[in-house]
Amino acid sequence: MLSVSNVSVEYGSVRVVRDLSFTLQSDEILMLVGPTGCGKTTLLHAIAGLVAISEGSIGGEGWTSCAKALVPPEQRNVGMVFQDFALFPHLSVIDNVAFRLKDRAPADHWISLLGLETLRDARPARLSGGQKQRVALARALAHEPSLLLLDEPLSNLDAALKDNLRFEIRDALKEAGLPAIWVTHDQSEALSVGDRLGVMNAGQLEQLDTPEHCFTRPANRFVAGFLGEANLIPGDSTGTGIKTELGLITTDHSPALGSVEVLLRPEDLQVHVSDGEVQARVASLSFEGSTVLYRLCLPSGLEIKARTSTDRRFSPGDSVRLSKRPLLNPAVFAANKMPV
Amino acid sequence: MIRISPTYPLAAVIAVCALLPLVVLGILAEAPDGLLQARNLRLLGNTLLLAGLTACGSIAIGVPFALLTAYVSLPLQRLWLVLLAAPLALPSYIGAFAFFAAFGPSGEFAVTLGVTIPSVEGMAGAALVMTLYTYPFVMLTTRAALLSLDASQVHAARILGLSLSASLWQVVLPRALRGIGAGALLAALYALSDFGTPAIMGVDTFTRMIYVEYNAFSLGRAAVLSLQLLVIVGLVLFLESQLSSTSERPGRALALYPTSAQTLSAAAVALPIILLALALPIGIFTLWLWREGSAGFELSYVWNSAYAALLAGGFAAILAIPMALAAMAGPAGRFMERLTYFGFGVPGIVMGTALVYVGLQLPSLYQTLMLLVAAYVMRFLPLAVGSLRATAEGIDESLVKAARVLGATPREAFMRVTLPLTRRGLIAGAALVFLESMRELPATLLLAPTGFETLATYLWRVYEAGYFGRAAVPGLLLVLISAFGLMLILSGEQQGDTAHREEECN
Repeated sequence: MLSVSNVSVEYGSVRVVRDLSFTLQSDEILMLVGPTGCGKTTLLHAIAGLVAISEGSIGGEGWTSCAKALVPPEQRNVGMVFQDFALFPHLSVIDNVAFRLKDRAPADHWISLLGLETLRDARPARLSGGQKQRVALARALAHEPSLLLLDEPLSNLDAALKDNLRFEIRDALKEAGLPAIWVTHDQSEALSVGDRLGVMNAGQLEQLDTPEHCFTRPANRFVAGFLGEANLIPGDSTGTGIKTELGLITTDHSPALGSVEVLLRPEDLQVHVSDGEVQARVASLSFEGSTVLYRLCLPSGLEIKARTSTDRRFSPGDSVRLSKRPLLNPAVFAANKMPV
Repeated sequence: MIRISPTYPLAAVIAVCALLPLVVLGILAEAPDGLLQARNLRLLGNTLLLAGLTACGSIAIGVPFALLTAYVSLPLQRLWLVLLAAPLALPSYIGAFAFFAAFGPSGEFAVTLGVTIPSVEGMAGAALVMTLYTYPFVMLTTRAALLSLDASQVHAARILGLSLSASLWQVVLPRALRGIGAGALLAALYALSDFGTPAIMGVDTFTRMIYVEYNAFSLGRAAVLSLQLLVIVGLVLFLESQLSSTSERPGRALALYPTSAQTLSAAAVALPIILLALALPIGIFTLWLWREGSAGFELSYVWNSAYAALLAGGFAAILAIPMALAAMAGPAGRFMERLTYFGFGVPGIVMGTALVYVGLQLPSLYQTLMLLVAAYVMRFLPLAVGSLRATAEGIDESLVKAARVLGATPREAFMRVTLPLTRRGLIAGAALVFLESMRELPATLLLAPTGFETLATYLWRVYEAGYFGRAAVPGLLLVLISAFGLMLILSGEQQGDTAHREEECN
């Protein structure tokens, strides 16, 4: 349980987090994602009490902290997993995990659950990155926090390790029945792990919703562009559909009439052999393994991307016809008023 | 968080105490008369000349050795570094004493071997001795700068057609200028502050004249000279603070593999320096020991030295904790730390003059050991603070945060995380203060209670009385103590290296 209301954080005169509010249900995992410097780590530190808030209030289980009366971190009963793990180098694994425990049973429980028994008495310097990550997680969980904060926990690890650990951590959180906020800059991590996803930009939450909604119904262009690749096709909304260079596109997403832009991700487009009607020309292509990514030029000069299966290959210079996937209801934004 | 660190009040008191000598000297100083002015110009000339010659000499020797120890993969690399850095650990007055006694028509070489070598004295002698004992400043700062440079630029320069020496000159040294400058200024600072070397070589510098005035019971004039010297010291410190730091991405340093002929010629260049700076003093003192034994020496000198230095080391360690914490807490604390560095820049003879006056004003302190210990602490506290801070800053700041989030109060986090991880730095810092205090000469001469003879003061009395042979035991003991100091510093450097390497592996 956590409620964040109208929180701002300032570093000197710079507002890093601006008037931000949300609540977290018990045993919910919230993923926070955003570009570098968007304030996501600062928000996490503010919730932990490591950074002072300048406005608003943060309330957890049995405490409420506001700008006037800050609650120190040790009185918040939150757990935190740091980006660089922050294991105490002078203490063994078990002493790290049981740092402030009088009864060591929870430490033993998490050490065995995360498969660290053989490393019980090792010093952190001897551990590999993945092992350090598990110790850091065990330490946080063994202290039985009422909320766990994870600050880019996988960013210091090899790609191969990430995929496994991602779900290992998620399972541990669900096993502990803990609510958690997990900061990441990895898109696929953001989309695949959490119950809800918050997309941050410039100190504010642009959207807070389920990962599916954030991806398919982004609240604005920023969210659309940040989560995956996005083609924005200009068009004219007539009420029955949207007239675009690619033909009439229908969607249940009811936009205002007039100029709009339709969000079509590269995966949403299908590339066909031109049947006389030329809609685009292949500018280049790159083979990606299970898919092929085409860069295509529309007659208006707009460049878009399409990702298809490798079944049928086009070559640069080929004329093609494009269509959207039939069942797709793309998101539509009112067109940018600013002339480009 | 805008909160005043609880360490600030204590740190502020320490910082104010560090400025005490300046205040005292200001009160004490008499308006100089005209005669003094003319003499002062000569003093100023001598002092600046000595500092300048020392800086140039230490660059000339220090930079080539820095290149050698940083980039050339020599056999027994560690030994080269230790031997070439060793002169720094030796107080230069030991060297000056040995040079003075060894050379010249009635020197030991003439007496023992019948070879008369021109005497080493005066400005040239002082500059030579000073250079021999300060070039490691330049060598070490330059070496550190060289090691932080990535080799790829040199490789690029050579692939573009530049010879190795030309690429070192055009591509490497310009980027190490800051390190060279910092080392040269340290050497100049040492030359400005040192009392023993110019005194033994008979060069009238500020430090020597302050001692002369002190012995003539004119503390007022000594204070004027002290203030003038402090202005020069302040100027050098200012210059040093102006050296802009350029940070480059650290990379793998250049490694050159010499042929055995090249190694031998490098050894042929290094050998005379090591012979003069290390072997000569040790040889002379050993000769005296063999010839005259330990006549006149009392064990109590060792105990006195060790006792005063132990007190200084202990106090410095205790005071260093709040100071280092304050320095890490914020800009105000950093400023206070800078103030304590003032004591480090104050020459021992100046510190002595100021505290003698304090003793005269406060009879309860006069001629007490505490006053001497206070002088040591004020001079050498920055060593302890620096050592502690370097270790403490090496600690990942998220460790303390992690402890706090796990439920530890700031106090518990300090006791269980920060302190255990900095203990090594604290002990090393206290040991440095201890060793420096053991070897300190001028402040000890002025402040030691009557009858409280230490190794350094005994050596000085022997020199003044002309019983050179009796310098054998204190001289060798001081060399031994210096060797311990060197080992301590180098082991710290080595740990730094290892820690760095471990980090790279991760």
